[in-house]
Amino acid sequence: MLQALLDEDGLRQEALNARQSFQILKQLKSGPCIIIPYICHPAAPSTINVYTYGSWKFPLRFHFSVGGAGVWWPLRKLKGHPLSEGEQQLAHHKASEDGIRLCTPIGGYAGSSTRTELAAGILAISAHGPVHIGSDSQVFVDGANQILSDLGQGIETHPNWKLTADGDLWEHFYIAAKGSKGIGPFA
Amino acid sequence: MGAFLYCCQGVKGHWAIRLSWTKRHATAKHVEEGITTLEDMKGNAIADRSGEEGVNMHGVAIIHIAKLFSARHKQYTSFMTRVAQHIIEAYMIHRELTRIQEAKKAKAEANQDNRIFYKPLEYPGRNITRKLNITSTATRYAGILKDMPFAIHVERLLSTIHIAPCTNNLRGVAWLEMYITYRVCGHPKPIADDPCVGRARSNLDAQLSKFKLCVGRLVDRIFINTNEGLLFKPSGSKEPCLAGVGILGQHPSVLFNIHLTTNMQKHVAAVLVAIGRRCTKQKIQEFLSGTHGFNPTKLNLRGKAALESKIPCLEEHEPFVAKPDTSSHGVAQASEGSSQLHVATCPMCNQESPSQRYNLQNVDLDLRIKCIICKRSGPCRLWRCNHGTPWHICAQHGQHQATSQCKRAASEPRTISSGASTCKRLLLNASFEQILDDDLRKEATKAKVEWLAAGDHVITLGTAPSTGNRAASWLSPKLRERFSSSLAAS
Repeated sequence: MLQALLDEDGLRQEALNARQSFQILKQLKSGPCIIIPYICHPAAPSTINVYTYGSWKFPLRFHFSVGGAGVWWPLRKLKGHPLSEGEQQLAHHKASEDGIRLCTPIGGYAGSSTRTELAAGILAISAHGPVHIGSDSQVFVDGANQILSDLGQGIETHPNWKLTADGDLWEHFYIAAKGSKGIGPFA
Repeated sequence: MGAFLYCCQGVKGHWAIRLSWTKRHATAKHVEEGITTLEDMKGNAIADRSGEEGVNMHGVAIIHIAKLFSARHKQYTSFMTRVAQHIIEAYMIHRELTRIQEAKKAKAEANQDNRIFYKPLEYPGRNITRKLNITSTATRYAGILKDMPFAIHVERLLSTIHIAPCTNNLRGVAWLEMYITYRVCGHPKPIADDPCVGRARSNLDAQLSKFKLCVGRLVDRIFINTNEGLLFKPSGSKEPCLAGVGILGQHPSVLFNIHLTTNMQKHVAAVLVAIGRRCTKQKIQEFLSGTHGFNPTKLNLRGKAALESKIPCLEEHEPFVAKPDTSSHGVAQASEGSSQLHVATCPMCNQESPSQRYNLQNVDLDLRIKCIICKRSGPCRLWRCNHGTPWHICAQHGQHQATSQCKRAASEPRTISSGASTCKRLLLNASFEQILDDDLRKEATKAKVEWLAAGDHVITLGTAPSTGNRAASWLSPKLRERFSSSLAAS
């Protein structure tokens, strides 16, 4: 089975060890997808309108861990609240009468449960309109709320993101949360 | 992904984003306790399932492989943990067993009387011994004497001892015994003490090593054309040869034993006992007299510098008293039957060539001489005369060669080197005047050297020239003015 999967990449099982083989297999073959949603003027609602969850399997053997992100939009209808282009590109969706479910695998060489939660949060905010995310990850919720709170009070914090765990995502979260002062293409 | 988040946030703004924590795997009990709401419980459960679906989107095969690899990794990790535990436990058990064994051994030794009493070491009688056949002398090796000035004392010891080759009933003498004999006879230390008394002295181990090195070098040089050198090979005996004086272990020895008088034997034994343990002189005497026993110990030669310096000299032992040879330095006198060496045989190519082409000297036989035939260099001591023996030990050629060297050295006084002889000749492109000046200068220098050699230091300048009146017009105006009074008087 392993050799069959490696054959797709033109690799030989004898030339690789277990860690190398699995790292090659679990990484995503497609490149990064950057789709920008429309501008959002209203403030976030007071009640949770989207639930996110990041799954991280086999966390004790991190070389062989695999991750996935899931989002649940209750009471969302495709007709009234269609999928944004980012959601369509990033995740697979399943629509039902109760709402819409989005899910996507998380690849990459390194990972953690917090990173998958962060990825699920990104998937949630890629939808159109304001979002109130409900997550069971205390680390993600506290970190994101700290950044949003600082930005709301006008406090400029400049931690060294490169020395922070999942700093690449948190750094973009911090810069992006500055709102209209951001330097993105739609700023 | 990060760039995407950045772009999204850049459009949405922080006001459009809000986060709340929800209870994971909530149950109805949590809802009743107010930890979470029913909507949040359901929403989180569905999001949980969505996340699991996201993981499964990697593919069944990859998930299966991840599960297998993870399980195997877990097995391997636990296996290696057990291996490490086993090694540590084995080491701890080994240490405990060793401790128990050592404790038992120490207890047994404490209860057991292992003392041994003096048993005289075995030495051959005078009737079965002979002297070593020394064919050369250390004084002909200036290089060795320069490195090891005590080599002449070692040679003296070798020339005076009486030896008997090893047999099944006769052990070989240990190097340590031979060294103690050397020192007891009054010979100096191989490594002399530093003039500065604050410096550390060489210990017994270093002194013994130097002594063995010197003997080894001498054996190759003073036992030429004989098999005496083979006697200095290791005996290979496995017996504890010094057990009689309470010293355990095997000690390097040679293939012969030496004859020692009874008094000398006791002296050597006393020194060996003192080296082997720390005890008083009275205890040593009691041990040698057989009234006291010692537990046998292993010999440790390190840190015995003070003891080595205090080895007593047995002055009364006449044949062993060192008297370095300072008379002729190995140069033999020419006898009636001596003849001049005309042909020398190269030790490298065994080809004969005229000996006048080589400097066969007696000062340092280790100097290498280059053969004019094979162009290779061999030690001077290995060159042979036409008798087939090394030239310096030949009864005819060795004596004549040494005598002729002495005569040559005495008859040729040191000449005064003239500067002209060392000056380079002028080149052919020099002018005639330059070559003439150079020849005149050399002739003058040569004449000066000959005059100095003749010892006639009186220089004859010849008759004085007539001092007739000179015309005043010969002088310059200034001189005429200065010596005007003299000119007027004349």
